[in-house]
Amino acid sequence: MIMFRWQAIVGVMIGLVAGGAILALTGDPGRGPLSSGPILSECDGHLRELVLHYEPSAKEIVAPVYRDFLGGLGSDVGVHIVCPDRPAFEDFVATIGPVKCQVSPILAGHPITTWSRDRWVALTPAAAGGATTLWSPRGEAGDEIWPARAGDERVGRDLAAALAPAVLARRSGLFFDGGDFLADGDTVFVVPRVLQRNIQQTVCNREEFLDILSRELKRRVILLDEAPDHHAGMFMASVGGKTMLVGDPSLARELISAEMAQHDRAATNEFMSLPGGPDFTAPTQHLFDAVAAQCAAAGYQIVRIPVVPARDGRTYLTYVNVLMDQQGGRRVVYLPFYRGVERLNAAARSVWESLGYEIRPVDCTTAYRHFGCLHCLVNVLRRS
Amino acid sequence: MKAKDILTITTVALGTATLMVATFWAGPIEAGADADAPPGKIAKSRLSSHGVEMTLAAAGGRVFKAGDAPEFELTALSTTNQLASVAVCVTMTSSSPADALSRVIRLPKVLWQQEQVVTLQPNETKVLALCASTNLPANSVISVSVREQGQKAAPLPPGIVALSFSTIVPKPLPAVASTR
Repeated sequence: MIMFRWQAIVGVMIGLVAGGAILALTGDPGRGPLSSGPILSECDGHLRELVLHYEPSAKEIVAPVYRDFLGGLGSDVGVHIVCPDRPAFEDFVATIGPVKCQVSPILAGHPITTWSRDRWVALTPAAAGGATTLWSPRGEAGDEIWPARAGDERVGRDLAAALAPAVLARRSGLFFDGGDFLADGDTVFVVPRVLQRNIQQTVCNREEFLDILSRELKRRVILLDEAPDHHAGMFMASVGGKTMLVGDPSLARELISAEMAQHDRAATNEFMSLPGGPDFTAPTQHLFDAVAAQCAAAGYQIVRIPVVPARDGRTYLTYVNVLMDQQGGRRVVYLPFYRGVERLNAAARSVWESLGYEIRPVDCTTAYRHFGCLHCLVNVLRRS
Repeated sequence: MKAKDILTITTVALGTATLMVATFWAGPIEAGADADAPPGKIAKSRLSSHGVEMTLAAAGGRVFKAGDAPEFELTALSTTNQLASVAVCVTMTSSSPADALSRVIRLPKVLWQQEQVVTLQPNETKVLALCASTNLPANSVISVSVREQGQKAAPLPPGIVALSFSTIVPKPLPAVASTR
């Protein structure tokens, strides 16, 4: 009996060493979670690799936005254009004209929408020289009734197939839109509806949900208790240095009155074709203020900026739906503007300038009526 | 060391290594960290409140389509050994894309809402029939949520989405003309 015991102990020890060696040498086993680093910050680093979608039927919406934005990028920036097919890419090139950044096509071969941001979030490489992981949601909202949205579900894999081995794709078990997250170098803010979409659907409770997000995104996760029912980038932007820019409808209210008087507009609900008119009601104001309060409680300095939400809850004139770029010591912001609201544009511009940002204006007049803006159209794959 | 000792050590070592690799190779399978195919959804959404577990299903397992006035079954199960009572609100909403170019679908619109008080004896189960007094719109995403009555929509959680389905109307196949 004693003899057997020492043999068994030696055997177990050798087995443990051998098993550990096998696991270490084989690395990613394929079935478990792939290793990845934290979610990419939206305000730190220089833009290096971007992803845009181009669907010719959306040309009128995106062309002015893309022209201004791509025209502002330098030659060291690569931009992947996801298109349904080759003619679509040729249409994109003809529409946008010559740009300094390096544009390359990714032909999906299936329908897509023009909104790149929500399709995936970029998880930085776990180690230097490693692959970026595109973390795609479990499914897209409305995909059963919206063929292009069903095609959007496949874009993460399309990108990984085209850009391997530098890019991997991984499908999450959670439902989300990429725009539901707002990340900086420290924290990820998550809008409330992501929990609503997942509780008792993919996770049992809030704790399990937060645990998964913390492990996947590898940042402090703050689930907003109250927020406007929209993507985070429509009402807030982390601008670096633990400063959060939060939309404030009350700041826009006076400016809008002035704009309307100047243009002799008869009724508020005709203003800028916002469905139902601007929403300056107390409940809506409360939601924006609640975001500011929760960010302040999380240790952020809060700066408010005008925003005009419409009564449909979807259409916004927003100035936080931006792309930020750090170029050495310079901080640059690609900032939306809307033709017809020059006072609002100027007010927003001065807020960003006060934060030390150099402004590169992007005309988003054609886009905002479709419930999104610049940040919603552009996804960031890599920053340096 | 005898041959028998070496055989025993080798057998145990092989068994231990195999067990270790099999255990850790599989990796955790949970909602946030799958590889290609996501893990299964929770089979039946369940709202637990005051010792009562509630689930909602389409009556008779029906599949609803546009134009239907749906009927549901709310099943309440007491998990306590005391008299239990809970007031819930069942809400059916619809949402649809504004147009094919929009970023997101419209905000959900409330189609029907019913408040229901459920009182249960210890360990009792009740099935309540709920009839929505409205017809389902076409080409919409329909959600039916259950939440405790009086519970504010925020802060979260507001309840659960018990059912979600769409009422897509298939487009008729185009007539194909042949030149031959």
